[in-house]
Amino acid sequence: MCLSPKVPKDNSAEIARQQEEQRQARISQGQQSIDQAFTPFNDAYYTGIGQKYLDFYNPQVDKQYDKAKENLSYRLARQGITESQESARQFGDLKENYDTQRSDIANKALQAQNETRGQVEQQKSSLYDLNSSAADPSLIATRAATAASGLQAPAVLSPLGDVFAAFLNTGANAVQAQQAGYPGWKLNLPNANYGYDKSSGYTYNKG
Amino acid sequence: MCLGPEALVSLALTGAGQAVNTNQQNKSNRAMAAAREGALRQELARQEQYQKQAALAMDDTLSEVARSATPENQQATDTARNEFVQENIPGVDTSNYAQLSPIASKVVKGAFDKTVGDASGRAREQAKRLAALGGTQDQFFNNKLALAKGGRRISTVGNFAGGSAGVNRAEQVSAANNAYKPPSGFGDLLGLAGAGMGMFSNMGGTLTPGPAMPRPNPAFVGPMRPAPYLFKF
Repeated sequence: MCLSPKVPKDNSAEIARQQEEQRQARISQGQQSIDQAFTPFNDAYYTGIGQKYLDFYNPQVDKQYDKAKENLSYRLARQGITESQESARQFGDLKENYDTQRSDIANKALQAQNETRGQVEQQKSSLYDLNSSAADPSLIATRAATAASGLQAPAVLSPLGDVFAAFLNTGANAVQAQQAGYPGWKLNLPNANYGYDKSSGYTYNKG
Repeated sequence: MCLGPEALVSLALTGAGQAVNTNQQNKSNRAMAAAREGALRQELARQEQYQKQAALAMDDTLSEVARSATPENQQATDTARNEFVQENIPGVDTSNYAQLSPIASKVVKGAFDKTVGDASGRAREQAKRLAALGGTQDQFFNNKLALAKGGRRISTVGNFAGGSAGVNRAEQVSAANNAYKPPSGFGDLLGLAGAGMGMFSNMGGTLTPGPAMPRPNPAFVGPMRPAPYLFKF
């Protein structure tokens, strides 16, 4: 026996659950869009970044090295110590400096790779966050495509400074100092002797 | 004080009505509670699945970090970086040192080769040490990427879990609403009958049969006739 009217069914939870499932599906779809947009950023892409870095900086340091060798040769020739132990040592130092520059470039190329990879991952994480909040696959697909194309823009690399200038200046000063009698490096160089002549003033006699 | 049968019947009916109502209300409350609990249990099962997904993501991340933290992996990372760096260092070639005259003795050339070669070797050793340092940084960096990737997965699972938990509040309320059974009304009817009996009793009514009604005096018999009530007022 039931004298009371039938209570209508409460469908609000079913509607809410359905909405939530649709929201989760949209988020998953958005994540797929992001992953798809970031597909080009693979190992080959990052290796390419490093190679571009090398291609940009190696020729610059090579050119500077050739120029530095040339300057060193002229200077050693002017000082008459071209085929001396000091000459070999200076060329050795120059080569060491050059190799250090090249290894530095390689390390920075790897650093550039990692930085790019980090930027891509950061951008991806930001898009994932946005996707979780917005749950709008079409918006996310557009944002992801824009972000991916922005990341693919070529990096701006600044030209290399004069990396051998300090070496050449230091080397020249050292040689001159030793020629003047400073025993610093014990280079076995011909010493320059300074004297004083009453008629002509200070004189320079190569020892 | 002695209660008459009318009062007793009234009390019994009212009490029975209340008992019926209370019983139905209790049944309804139990059904609502069970429905709420059912909805909660369903949600707990969902949350358990989410927790498993998050734990899996966490395990994957930690495994990746643990793999990269092994000495073998560290060695491999160092070696990879060192090879990359060493490949970018050109070999020693003193033949292009134009300042050496063509007639320079082998001793001089040999001294040049040795001095420059030693210097380059020092640079290579330095590069190797730097690569080892960079390799450690690479390892940290790879760990950071793995953690970020795992973090994204866990964050998504957390988002889904939060959304689901948010819906569950509505589900519990809705389940309770749908489980609610309104009183049938039978208890109210009994209560009403009890109240009616009370009123009847208060007005002097009785359930016991009284003496036979006197015959009406024909002189007073008019158009109105006594109703054939069983009860006597």
